This record gives sequence, structure tokens and C-alpha cells, in this order.
Amino acid sequence: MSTPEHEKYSEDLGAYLLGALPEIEAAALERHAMSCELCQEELDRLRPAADALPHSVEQYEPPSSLKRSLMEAVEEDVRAAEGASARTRPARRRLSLLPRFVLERPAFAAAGAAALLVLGGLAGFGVDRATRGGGGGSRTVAAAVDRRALPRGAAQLDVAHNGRATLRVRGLPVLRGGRVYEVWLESGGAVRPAGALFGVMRDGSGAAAIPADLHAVDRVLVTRERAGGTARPTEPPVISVRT
Amino acid sequence: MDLVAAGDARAFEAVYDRHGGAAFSVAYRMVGNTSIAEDIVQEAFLSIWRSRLRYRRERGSVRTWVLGIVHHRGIDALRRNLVHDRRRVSAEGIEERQEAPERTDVEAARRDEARSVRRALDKLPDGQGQVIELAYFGGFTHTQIAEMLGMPVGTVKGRMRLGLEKLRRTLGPEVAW
Repeated sequence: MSTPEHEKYSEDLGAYLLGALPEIEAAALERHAMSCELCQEELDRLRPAADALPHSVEQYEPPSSLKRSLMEAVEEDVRAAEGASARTRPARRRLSLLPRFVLERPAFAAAGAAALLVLGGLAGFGVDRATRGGGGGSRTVAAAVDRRALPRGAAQLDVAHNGRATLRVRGLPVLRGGRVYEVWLESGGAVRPAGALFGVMRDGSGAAAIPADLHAVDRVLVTRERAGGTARPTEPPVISVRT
Repeated sequence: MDLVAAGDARAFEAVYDRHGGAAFSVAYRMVGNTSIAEDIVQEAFLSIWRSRLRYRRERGSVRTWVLGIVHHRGIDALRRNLVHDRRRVSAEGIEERQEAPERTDVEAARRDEARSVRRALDKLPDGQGQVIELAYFGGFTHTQIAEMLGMPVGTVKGRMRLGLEKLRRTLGPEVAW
């Protein structure tokens, strides 16, 4: 059945599929669509038309340097992962509560035992208690926020029944110098980029859709990174959500 | 794709070999500059590799999934205003770009598909194709497009939606990219 809320969002479906909604409006539409069958059906119906657009462009040969530099980065990652795995195995047994990026990055580890205490005991973190549970198998999970870094910050993770999630924040400082908030996924102590970067509006609110299935993820983390994001976190997380 | 998710570099290389050209072409169409297009494609493929982004078969082909990621990165670049300055620099020099040869029947079929989508776009009435191209390839938001074209935001949103509806009908219900 059509509702006023559906009517409001249905006008935006075309713009959403074309990437023409600002990030916050896109996140709001995604949240609505999680519980609106009509919108989901409309999106499914129109998506093939949007998906056809990139297939319309003239085809050009990419420079060979692109593959070279891409594969160099990939091989470097493989070597680093193999080396780190060999180096950190004993340490991980000793400090099994720590996320892997703490163990694998000496500079990060040197940032101080204080950061580790914060992670372990939530000391210094304010916990924004949001409602758990929700209709149709979707749920909202409260986030722990580092009060020293984000004194007025609050965050929550909306997880749909299909594992798709949106992180919503408020009261966060606008980052200067082209820096962004970057989202990370922690599974079994290993941390990887979620492929989601976000900024916040002047009022400190923002949202990031997480393009990954969260079923096997233990925690969603956020750090502040340079524009474009980084391959590994360069600071302790300022937001942490146990999934 | 399961091998890529498991960290197999050779499987990842095969994915790049198969879809890197299309990815570069989309990025180039969006930003009009070879070096920025390279950056976008590199970022997109590295995000696939490093975050082990999950490909979900029910959402379409691997190619469509990869191109969607490239498109998002392209929009990020356009909205970070990285492009406009470098586009200007690039226009002063000579862009080196090489049209991809049609090596196989598959590539020839893709060119035919591309032509049919372009024809369908060109045939859209009432400026629908224009707002779709400004949004999808120009990275402009609905409000920016409304300002540029001097029309209400509601009209822009309506044209986007009607244009997609029409495109869907023209390309056929069986279309799956």
C-alpha cells in the first residue's frame, strides 16, 4: 500500500539510481527502501536501465601503466600480508583482544597503551544506546564513540535483514584539510576497509552506506583519514559498533 | 570472484584483464582526463581487492558490479572538484587515448550493445537524456542540474525517472547487464 512516506521517496528513485542524490538523501532513501516493498520493486524494475548506462560509452584501451601499478600494489599487499602473518602470530596470541591493525602496524601500536585500554574497556567512550530490534528482521545497533576525539558525537548502525547496513552519525566535527571519515570492518581480529568514506554536514550529521555483507563482521569501525582513504587505519577508531 | 575474495592475486588480475578496459572507458567518459581516469580505476580495483567487496550474483553481472564501483569513485572525484582544474590543464595538451580494438566477437557484440544504448538515450524525449547524462556521467546532483537548466528540482527528478522508465522499455524487459 502506498504511504505518504513512500510517495515522498518514490520521486527520488530515478535520481538515486543515477547517483544524483547527495549522500545524506541517498542514505535516507536506502533506509526507507529497506522497509518499503514498493520502493524495492521500483528500484529493481528501473535498475537495469541505470546499469545499462556505463555500457553506452566509447571503448578505450587503458594505458598499460595502469595494470602495472595496480598489480604492483596488489603484489605488495600480498607480500605485506604474508610477512605480517609470520611476524604477528605469537603477538596475536598474547594480545588476542586487539584488532589486527594494532598488531601489524608498529607506528599504530606505538600510539600508546592508552588507546588499547580505551578499546578493551570502553573507558572514555560514550555509548549511544539506540534501540535494538526492528520490523522485518532489521535492527539498529548502538555505537561506542571516543568522547575525547568526538565530544558531542553519536552514531548508530542500521542493519537490514539482508545484511546491508548504513552507519548514521551526528555531532561529529567537520574534518579540515580534505580529510574524511573512513569505515572499517573487523572480522576475527583482522581489519579491512569497508569501501565507504564519508563527510558530515555543517551540523555534524552524516551517513555512510556500507557496501558489504555484515554477516561475518564482528565490528564496524571509523577512523579519520586522508582524502581518498587509506589501505590501513592510521589511528585508533573513533567510532566502534559491535555487530 | 570467490578466489578474489580469498586473496588470489592471479584471479584478481584476470578480473582486471576482463573488465579494466570498460572501467577505464567509463571513468574517462566521466572525467575527460586520462590520468584522473587511471586514478579512479586504480582506486576502484584496489577497493575491490583490499576490502574484498562481495560480489552478489543476484544483483547482475560482474561487469555491471565493477562498473558501478567505478561510477561511484568517478562521482566522488567529480564532487571533490579534483577534475575541473586538471581537465583545464589537460585541454591545453594532447590527451593520449587509444580506441580499443575489436579483438573478439564478444568485444564486437559489446560495441553493438553500446550503440543500441546510445541510440535509446538519444531518442529520449523532453530533455530526459540530458538530465540523465548530466547526473550519471557529469556527477551533478539533482539540485545542481535544476540550477544549471533553470527548472524546478521536481521537474529534474521527474525527467530522470521517466527517462529511466523509457530506457528500460526501449532496451527491453529482458535486458540484464
